[in-house]
Amino acid sequence: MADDRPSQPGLAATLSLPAIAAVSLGFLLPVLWLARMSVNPTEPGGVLREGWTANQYVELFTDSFYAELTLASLQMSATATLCALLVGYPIALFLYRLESRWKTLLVLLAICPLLVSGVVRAYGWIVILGDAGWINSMLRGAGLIDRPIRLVNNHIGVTIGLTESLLPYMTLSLLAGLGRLDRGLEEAARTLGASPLRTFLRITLPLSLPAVVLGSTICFMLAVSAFVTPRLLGGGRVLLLATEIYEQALVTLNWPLAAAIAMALLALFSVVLVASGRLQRRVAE
Amino acid sequence: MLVRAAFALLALLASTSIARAQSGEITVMAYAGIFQDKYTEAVIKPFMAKFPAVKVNYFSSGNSAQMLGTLRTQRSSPQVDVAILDVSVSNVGNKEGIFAKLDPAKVPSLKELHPMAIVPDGFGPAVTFDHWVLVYDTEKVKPAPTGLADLWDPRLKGQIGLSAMPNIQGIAATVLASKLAGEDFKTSIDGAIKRLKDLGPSVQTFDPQPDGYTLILGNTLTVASGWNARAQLYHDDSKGRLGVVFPKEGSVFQINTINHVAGSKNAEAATAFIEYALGREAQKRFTETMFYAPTNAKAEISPAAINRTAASAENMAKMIPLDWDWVTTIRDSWNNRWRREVIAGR
Amino acid sequence: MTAGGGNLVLAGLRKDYGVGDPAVDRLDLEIAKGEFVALLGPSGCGKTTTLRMIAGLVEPSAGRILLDGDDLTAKPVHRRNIGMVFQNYALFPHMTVADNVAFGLEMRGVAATEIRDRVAEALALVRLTGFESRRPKALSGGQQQRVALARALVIRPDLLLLDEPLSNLDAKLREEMRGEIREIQKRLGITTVFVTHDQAEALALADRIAVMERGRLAQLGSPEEVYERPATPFVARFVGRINALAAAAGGDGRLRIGGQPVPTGDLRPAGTKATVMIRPQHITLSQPGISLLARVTGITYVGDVVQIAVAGDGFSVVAERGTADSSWRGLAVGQDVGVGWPASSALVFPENADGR
Repeated sequence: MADDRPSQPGLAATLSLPAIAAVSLGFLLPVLWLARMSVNPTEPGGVLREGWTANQYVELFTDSFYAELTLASLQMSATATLCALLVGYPIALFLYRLESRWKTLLVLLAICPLLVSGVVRAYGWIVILGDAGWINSMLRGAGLIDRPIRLVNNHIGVTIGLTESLLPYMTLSLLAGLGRLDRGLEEAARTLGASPLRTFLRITLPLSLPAVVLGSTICFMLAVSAFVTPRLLGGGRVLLLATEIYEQALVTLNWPLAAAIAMALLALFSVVLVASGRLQRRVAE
Repeated sequence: MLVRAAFALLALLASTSIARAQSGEITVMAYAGIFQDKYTEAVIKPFMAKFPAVKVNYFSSGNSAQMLGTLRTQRSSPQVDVAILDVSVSNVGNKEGIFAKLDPAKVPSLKELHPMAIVPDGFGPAVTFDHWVLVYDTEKVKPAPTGLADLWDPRLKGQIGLSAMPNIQGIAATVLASKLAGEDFKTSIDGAIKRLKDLGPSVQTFDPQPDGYTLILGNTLTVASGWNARAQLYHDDSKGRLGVVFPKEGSVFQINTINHVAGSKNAEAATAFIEYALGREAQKRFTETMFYAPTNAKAEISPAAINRTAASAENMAKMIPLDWDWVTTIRDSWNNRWRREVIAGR
Repeated sequence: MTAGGGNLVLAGLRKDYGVGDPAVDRLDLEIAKGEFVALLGPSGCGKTTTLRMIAGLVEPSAGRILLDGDDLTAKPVHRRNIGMVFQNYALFPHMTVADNVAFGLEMRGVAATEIRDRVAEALALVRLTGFESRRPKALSGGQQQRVALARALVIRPDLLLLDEPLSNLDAKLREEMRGEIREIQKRLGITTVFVTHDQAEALALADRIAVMERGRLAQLGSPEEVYERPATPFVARFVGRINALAAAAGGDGRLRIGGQPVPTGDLRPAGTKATVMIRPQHITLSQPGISLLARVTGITYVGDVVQIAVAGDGFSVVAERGTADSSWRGLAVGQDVGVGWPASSALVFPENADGR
């Protein structure tokens, strides 16, 4: 009598080789390279030497500037994630409940900004938010303001741009995570005497929390690592960890410092992931 | 070990994008965009006409630091023979051994170069001089600004694009602001930082994207900092709407050097190209095409072109000499002061 | 435990989705206090839509819903005080059994101590005492069903709505729950509307059955009425098994099949075409020559009963005998038999009585 389950561990290992190779090449190797780079010494101007030093990490943890950058990154990412959640949640809920043949089309519409590069979208925002942009022109035309409001080249512009760039990811992850939500549960709550608001607070919201945690985690990480939007919409005023990595790597040429900041960011991501995993389990109860 | 291995791997990957330098073939790496168009037209094509046996490939890159990054990854097997990039970055390459020294016997034009063009220890010299300018919208800013000092005019509030540090335009702006404050930037930039901090709220953007010229012509800004060569091209393209001002406080050179990559596969052709690029003929043609000042003092430039560069005697006298090697030692501290005091406004 | 019972009136109820025929049309129905009414019909007949309109989950296109004289039509769902059990139970997965049952009381602002008592009482009613802190997913289908029932009843609703509550249970459990629901309903005296597509369930549970067909009420009556005196061939076919024979009246007014007169209670004008319907258990099989001549084409033994299929000239019928009755045992396929039935058990409908 043969066991009907394949009992060939060797085969399983062989089959997972491509995946192991892909992860090693695509993630592990670059991270190891980054880790090694972060302990190379540098000389003024960004001259790179091969060797060993902890200088970059000492600078990272002693210069209060990096603490400020980290705080600014966390703040900006949390704000943009929250904004994306507030905008994306109703959209996702609407799409999730939609029983129409247009549903697929509308879902595609919600995620189609992903088809346009972030650079192009950022320039689009400049056109909308700039001093001579649509919003300021409209407000001026309506006589509400006489000087343009600064909506871009500052934190407001970056928050708006980041929120918009996160929105498709938020909507998609919320949609994917709303699986436990059954229309019948809301109807049951209604028949039991719950008003629409209480139904939302007691049934819809708690049941969608796993989706909220999932979407927020993904968006938070994307926001922390985003540098194109802050650069294009920040007017040089919005200094974040990601833009600092970009500047150290591609302007001031201090690769080891850029690598050290990237490693710190990686550590931050691990913390966020673990925290999110815990939270996920708690809200899924 | 690991770094070496990673470099080798990355080089392997990068090599697919660059045509392998064959005999009679060299690859020149320099800026993308309009620089590529003009340099190909003014220097590379005439060179190939003169040396029909050598084929020159142009490998374009976004900025100097990216070029150095590419060269770092190709260390074990360089795919680029000649690189044109900013002197602050080429200095790093010289110290890292990425670039080779030139043989004065094979590059006779070295003797004709302007003293400021010479890089110590026989490394690649300056091939272009550019300088920091103010650009403005001639339709909106009247009277025309004459220098950095005019940026504090309240009428310009919110309409200024000023490239901040670590961009090297920010270094030039610091130097000029120091001069305005009557201090020696080599000892203190306190006065400069104080003045720039006052200017901060008037600045629309400290990082004009894609650049100040475009933002002025797109009605987002009315005045911005810039580099002369590109500004002159935008001046012509906009039929004079974009005005270019050589600041009355003076200006600072942005220097591009031409460098021979160490381990280049075709050293002979590469050296021949460098000699040609530094020669009077190429220097004259590129200046007249793109308004970079010539580094070859003997190049005979048409008066019309020379007046639009820093090379005129009058402008040359106003240039503030800046030792870029020294700049690398103070760049981080200047950068921090910009970030904490000028940009953050504290 | 007490529960209110209301008198429910549906007047001219209509639901039009804008495409095709209305899902429910011109529905008039009055349900007395404490009565148990089954809405019975095939899928798509409008029975669930009707139930959802009563609950307030679907807005009627026309007509009114009155509960004890109160017009509910424009009242939002959460103010109707109607208990509903959903087909998939719709238990809140993130709450314990006790919290599920307490939910409706909480929404009504009932004091915590009273909630505790009433939840315990409701769980006792459905025999789930001790399951308070379980999560719904840790319960069997039948237990989930009972939690849903307790949750709907604990609010002391004026009306209990059950939407195919037994369809997700296996056959044995279904019969058990059937009895339990009926027993609880009787004990509480709560007016109940029960939606089902299973005629046996409707017959066993309901005081009255409303058979629905394509959005309309086809017949309203007690189980006996609906079964024995169906108003239309559709009802006759849907409730229980039945044989249908095409007949035409001869010159003497008697209905004939293939020229042979058949037993029916009434006479028809000569040439009238009609459908004669007879329940299988009323078909008699005898020696050939006595009535319609036919031949046995099949004998199917299904346990409680045995089905004998016979075919004659221009007709075929199925007769059914209890297996305790041994009269069928002599029969064999291919054998000639005489087919008949008592005239009183024949249902005669004019041809096209269903309007099809």
